[in-house]
Amino acid sequence: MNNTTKIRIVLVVATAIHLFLLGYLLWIKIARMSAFEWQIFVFDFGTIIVTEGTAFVTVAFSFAIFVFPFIIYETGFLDNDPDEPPDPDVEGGQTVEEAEEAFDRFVENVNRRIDYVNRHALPIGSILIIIGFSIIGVANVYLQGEGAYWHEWQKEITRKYEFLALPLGLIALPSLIIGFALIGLYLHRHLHSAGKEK
Amino acid sequence: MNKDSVKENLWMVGVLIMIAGAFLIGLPLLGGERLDFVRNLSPYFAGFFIGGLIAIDFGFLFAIISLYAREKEEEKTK
Repeated sequence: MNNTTKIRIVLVVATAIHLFLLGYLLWIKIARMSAFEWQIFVFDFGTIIVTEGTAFVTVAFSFAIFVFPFIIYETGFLDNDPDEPPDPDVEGGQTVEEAEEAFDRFVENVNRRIDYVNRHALPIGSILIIIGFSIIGVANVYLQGEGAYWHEWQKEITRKYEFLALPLGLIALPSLIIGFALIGLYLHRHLHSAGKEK
Repeated sequence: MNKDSVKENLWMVGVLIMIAGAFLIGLPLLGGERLDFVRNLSPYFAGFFIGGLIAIDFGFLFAIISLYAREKEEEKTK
């Protein structure tokens, strides 16, 4: 038995177990909707209610994260078309050189457009990070729940705008990610160029 | 035991962990007296379920990563 066969066996077993669990949970959900609610965990930190719906989502996510990428890799249906000739000179259309030129032009164009961001990666990144942390601070500390020591107007704001906590958090997260990416880019570029000069 | 043979058969350990996880999930279902599995589930079933799921995923990753490592080694020796 060669290695590929073993990999396929493992993939098939994992897929089968996950699909079986999904089917089982779906069956519980559809056939016994009124009869069933899963038990409640009680830990030191609180309670988690596990229903068939949340269990279904858990299994689906674990399949999607852990198993499905390997299926994609193994089946290769995102790879290049195997009928495509491997020799680029045989292609009827664009040659590789032309494609490279076109790509270079495209990159130049994009670079021109984001040149400002590129040149000011450090300040823009820092500002985005500060904004992201501020929003998360406001959303999570200020808008979620009220403190006993607060003034009445603070409590009123919290009661009125509590619903904004999650959306604001969703805005803050990308800004944090982009900010860190820009700073990382800046550091990478500068460290890289410093190494080159030496 | 040869070190290479341990490396070669590491993937089986992963498969065994997967099977153990599946068994963990299946255990409370098999233990029910009535056929009505759903009503037989005790408060502990959720723990069995999550633990089994983690075991299945861990075993799967263990097996497939060791298999890919083996494949890489085989390619190197070629």
